[in-house]
Amino acid sequence: MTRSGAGNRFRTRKLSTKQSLAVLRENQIDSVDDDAQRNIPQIETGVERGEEIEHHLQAAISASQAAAVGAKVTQIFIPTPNTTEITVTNYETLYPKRFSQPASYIRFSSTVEDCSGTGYCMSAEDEKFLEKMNATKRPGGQQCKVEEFERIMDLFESIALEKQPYMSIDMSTVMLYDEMAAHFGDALSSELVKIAAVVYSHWKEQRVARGGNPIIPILKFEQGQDKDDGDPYVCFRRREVRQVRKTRRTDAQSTEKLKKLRQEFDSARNLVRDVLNRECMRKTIFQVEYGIFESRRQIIGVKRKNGIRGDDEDLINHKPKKRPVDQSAPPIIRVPIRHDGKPPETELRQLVTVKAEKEKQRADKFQALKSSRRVPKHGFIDLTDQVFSDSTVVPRGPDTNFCGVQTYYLPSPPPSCEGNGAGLFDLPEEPSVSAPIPVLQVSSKSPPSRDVPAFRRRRGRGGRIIVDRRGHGIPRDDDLDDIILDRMKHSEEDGDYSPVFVRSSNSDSHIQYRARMLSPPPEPPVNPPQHMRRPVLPSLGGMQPGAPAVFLATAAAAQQAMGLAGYKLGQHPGPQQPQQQQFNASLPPLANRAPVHAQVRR
Amino acid sequence: MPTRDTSTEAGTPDVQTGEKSIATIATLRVGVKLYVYHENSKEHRLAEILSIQTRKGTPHYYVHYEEFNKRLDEWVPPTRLDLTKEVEWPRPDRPAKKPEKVAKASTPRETPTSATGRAQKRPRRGDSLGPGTPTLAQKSSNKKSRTSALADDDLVVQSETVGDVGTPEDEEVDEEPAETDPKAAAAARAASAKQNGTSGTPETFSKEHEIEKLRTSGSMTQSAHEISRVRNLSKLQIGKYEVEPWYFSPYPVEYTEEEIVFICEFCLSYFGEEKRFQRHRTKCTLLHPPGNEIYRDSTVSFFEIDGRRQRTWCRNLCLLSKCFLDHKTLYYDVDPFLFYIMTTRDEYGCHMIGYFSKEKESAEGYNVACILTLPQFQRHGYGKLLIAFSYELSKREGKLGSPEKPLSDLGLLGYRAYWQDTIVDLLLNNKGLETTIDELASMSAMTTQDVIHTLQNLNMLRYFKGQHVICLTDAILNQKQKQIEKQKIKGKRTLDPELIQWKPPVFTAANRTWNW
Repeated sequence: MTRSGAGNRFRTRKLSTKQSLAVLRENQIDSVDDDAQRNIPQIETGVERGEEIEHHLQAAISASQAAAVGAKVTQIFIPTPNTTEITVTNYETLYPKRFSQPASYIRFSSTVEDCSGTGYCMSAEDEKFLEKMNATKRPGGQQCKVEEFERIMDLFESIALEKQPYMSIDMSTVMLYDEMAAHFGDALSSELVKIAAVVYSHWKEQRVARGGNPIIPILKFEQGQDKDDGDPYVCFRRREVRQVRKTRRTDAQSTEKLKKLRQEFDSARNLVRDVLNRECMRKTIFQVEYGIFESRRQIIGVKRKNGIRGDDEDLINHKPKKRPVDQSAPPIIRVPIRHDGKPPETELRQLVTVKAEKEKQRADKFQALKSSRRVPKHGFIDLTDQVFSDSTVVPRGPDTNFCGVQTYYLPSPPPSCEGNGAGLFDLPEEPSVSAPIPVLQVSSKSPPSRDVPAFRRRRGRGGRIIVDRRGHGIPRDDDLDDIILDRMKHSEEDGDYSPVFVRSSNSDSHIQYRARMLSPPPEPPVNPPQHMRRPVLPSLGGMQPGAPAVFLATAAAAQQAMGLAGYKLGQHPGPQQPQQQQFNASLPPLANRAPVHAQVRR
Repeated sequence: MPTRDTSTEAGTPDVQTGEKSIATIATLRVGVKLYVYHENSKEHRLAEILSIQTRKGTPHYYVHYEEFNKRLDEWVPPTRLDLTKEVEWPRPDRPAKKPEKVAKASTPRETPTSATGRAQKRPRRGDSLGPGTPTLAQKSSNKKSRTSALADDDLVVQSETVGDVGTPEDEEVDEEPAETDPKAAAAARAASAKQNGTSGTPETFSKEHEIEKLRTSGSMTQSAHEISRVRNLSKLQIGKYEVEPWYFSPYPVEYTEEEIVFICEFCLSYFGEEKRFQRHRTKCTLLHPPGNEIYRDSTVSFFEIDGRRQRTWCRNLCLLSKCFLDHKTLYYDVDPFLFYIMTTRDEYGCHMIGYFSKEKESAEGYNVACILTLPQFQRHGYGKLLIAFSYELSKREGKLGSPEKPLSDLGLLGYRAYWQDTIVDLLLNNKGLETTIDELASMSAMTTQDVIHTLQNLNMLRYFKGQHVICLTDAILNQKQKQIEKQKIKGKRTLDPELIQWKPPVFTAANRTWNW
C-alpha cells in the first residue's frame, strides 16, 4: 500500500452505514490511501483485554490476518485439553438402542424428574448392604428388589429433607425410625414398611457418614447467608424480583381498592350477622310458642282433672297473630323509583306534554276563577277592562311593573308579616279585621301616569327588600350649576369622577317633596268607588304611622333620569313566595283612602 | 526435563515484595511465578502457582502459564519446575493490580494471621482453596490428599498429557464461549486476582463491592472467587467420550474428589459413582433434549428449551458447559434464558453436540448468550452451524443480533470465520456493483458493527477516489476458492432455513421475568 505523499489530500468522509459502497476487485484499485482507515472506527474484538494478549489467540489472529493479506500461512489452532473417545465397553448396556425418530418434529415437555424414575440411585455400598440383607432375611420373608430399596431410600431422603433440613448442622438428633415411619403415608406397602425398618439403619449410617448431608450430593444453593455471595459453589441464585415502580396514583388506587374491598366485606359480614340474628329470633319464637302450647296442654289436663268445663279452644291461638311469616316473606324486590313517581313501565313523559298540560291546567283554573268571580261581581261596577288578565298574554310595558301607590309614609313590614310567607303587601286576613270588605283588585291597563308616585318592591340580596319609587323623584334641580351639569356631560371619559351636587336641604324642591310625603294623599287619579275603600287595618296600628322612612337616596340614584331611588327597608327575613304570579288578591290599603293599584310584582 | 533443583541456597524465607530471587521447593508458595516446563511447547514458560497440594509426600503445583489460556493450566510435579532461575515473589499487599494473569496477591508468610499459619504448617491442605473456602471444600481436599493420593497422581498425569492439539483436523476452530457482561467478568477477575493465593484471609478486600457489581451488571455473572481459578473436576464421562474439563464448574463439591464424574448423555445428570450412574441409566427414559424440535435435516436437529420449564435440565447443561466456558457464570438461575440444543441422531438417541443460550429478552440486542460445541465435537464444523442457526433465528425475528461479550478466544475465531464466510458470500452473490453496510447487515442479521469489524479485519474497506469502497481482495478470493475445494472433498455443513419450524416465542411479562 503506497502512501501517496501529500498529493491528493481529500478530506476523507466518515464511513456511514447507509452510504453506498462500490464492490471492487483488488485489480480495480491502484492506489490506496491508508489514511482512509483512520475514519473507520476501530472496533474491539470483544475478547477480554487480558485474554486478547494470549499467545495462541494472537498467533491465530495474526495468521488469519496474514492470510487476509495473502501470505501463505498454515492455519493455527488454539490448543485445548484432551478429549478421548473411549471404548465404553458397556455403552450398549448403558444406552440401549431404543430411539426411533418420529416422522414429525418432536414435541416434548416432560421434565428430567418425570423421566428419571426414582430419584435415589443405588451405590455399590448400598448394593452390598442389599445383598447382605436379602441373604440374612428369613427365607419366608420377601426379597427386597433394587427398585424397592431405592424407593425406600428415596423416601427416607425426602422425608429427612423436608422434616430435618438442617441435619448437617446438628448431627446429634437424626430422625428416628418411628418419626420417619409417621411420615410414610401410603407411599409404601406393608411389606415394604417391614423392609424399611431394616433399611433405616443403613440409611442412617450413610447419612451420618455424609455428615448429615443428603447421601447423593446436591448442588449448593443460596442459604440466605452473606457468605453465599463469595462461594463459587453456590449457583443458580434467584434473581431479585424487579421492584414494581410505585407512584402515588397506583398507591391511591390500591388504597381505594382495599377500602372498597373492606367495605364490601363489612357489609357482607353485617348481612350474615343480621341473618343470624333473625334466625335466632325465629328460633326463640318457636321455642316460646312451643312453651305456650305445652302450658296450654297442661291447662287442659288440669281442667279435665278438675272437671272444669270450658271451650277447648285454649290450644289455639285465638287471635291469629301476625305471623312472622311476614318477616320471612321473600324480600321485596325494589324497583328503582322514577322521579315522577310512576311505575317504571309507563312511558316517560315528554317535557312538551308536561308543559302543555300545565298550560291547560292554568287556563282551566283561570276560566274557573273567572266564572266564579263573575257571580259576586254583579253588585259592583267593574271599572277595569278585564279583571283577570292573563299575565302571559297581556303585553306589559316596563311600567306595568309599578303600581301606583300613594302613601303617607313608607311602610316597614308589619311584625305579622315576618315569617309567615306573606309578602309585604300581602297581609293576611286577620281575625281582627272587622269585616271582610270586598276589594277588587284593579289593574289598570293603561299604566299609571308618571306623575303619580309609584312603588315597586324588589327583593335584593340577603333578603333585603328594596322599594323602587317613581313619580315623586326629585324634581329637576334648576339651581344646579350649569357648569357642573356641563361637567357631567363631558365626564364620560373619567369614570371615577363623581360629580358633586350642591344641594340645600332647604331648597324648594326638597321642602316640596317632604311636604308631599307627609301630607295626606292627594286625590287619586282614578277615583275608586267608595266601596272599594278600606279602612286602615287596626293591626297596622303597631307601626308608627308617622315614622319617616329612611331615605337613602344616593347621588347615583339621583342621577337616574327615571328618578328611581332605592329605599332600604331593612332585612326582611320572611320566606319568599315561590310562585311568581300576579297578586290579584286584595291588598290591604295602607291608608284609609288609598286606592290600591295592586299590580305588585315581586 | 529439568531436574529438580534443590541445590540452590536456602532460599529466601523472608520474602519481600515482588522480589526476584532463587527459591527452593520448600519456600515455594501460592502466587510465586517461576519457569515451568510446558510439555506441549517443549519449553520452559513463566507460570504462576495457583495451588499446591501434597500427594504421597511430594507437593504438586497447579500452575497457570502466562499468556496461555487458563484451560492449559495444569498440575505439575516439582520435577517440572525450573528452580535454577530466579522466581518472582508475590507482593505482600496488592497495589494496582494487573488484571488476572499477573496476579501478585498473596499473604506474605510472616503474616501472623492464624489462617496463614495454618496454611503454612499444614501444606497438605489445599492451600489455594484457603480463603473463604467453605469448610466442605477444605474437608474434601483434606480427605483427598489423605485417601486418594493415587487418584490424584493419575490426575496430574492426565493433565500433563495435553496431546498435540495443533493438528488441523478440519476447517475451523469451533467452540465459542461467549457471555457475561464484561464488567462483571472484569470484576470477577479483579476479585480473583486479588484473592489469589491468599490462603488465609477470608472475605477480605472489596469483595462486597465486587459482588455488588456482579449483581447489578445484569445477566449471568461470574463467581468471584479464587477457588474458581483452579479446575475442580478431573474428568468427565459423557456418553462415549471422556473429556477433561477446562475450567472450574460448581458441581457439588463432593465430586471434586471423584476420579471421573459420569454424566448422563441425555438428561445431563451427574454421578460420582459408577454404580449410581448405571442405576440411573436403567431408569432414565430421556432420549433427546426435553423440548421441542424446531429444526431437522439429514444430520442434525435443533431443540428449543425454556429455562423456566426445564430448570433441572438447563441447570445440568449449564454446569456441564461451565466446564468449558471460562466466562460463563452460574450466579443466577436459568429462567430468563432459552436454550437451543444441536444434536445428531442415531438409534441411541439425539446426542448433544453443542448449544447456545439466548436471553428471552435482551436489552442489548444479543442473539446469543453462551455458545459451545462440546469439546469432543469440536473442529468438525459444528460451531459454524450453531452460529448460523443463531443468525437464522434473528432473521426470523427480524432483528440484527450479535453475541454477548466478552467472547472467548475460540469464540472470537469461530465468529470471525463465520462472519467472513457470510460477508464474502453476500458480496460475491451481490449482482449489483454497490451495496451498503446496512444492506449487508440486514441480509445477514449481523449488526452493522460486526459487518464493519469483519470488513476491516479482512482489509476489505478501502478508500479509493475520494470514497470508501469494499474491495474483494485476491487473498480473500483465494481463500474462498480453497475453501470451496475443501468442501467439495469433505462436504459442507449447511443449514436449510426452510426446515426451521419456529416462531419467535412471545413471553408475557410474568414469564419473562424471573419469578418462580
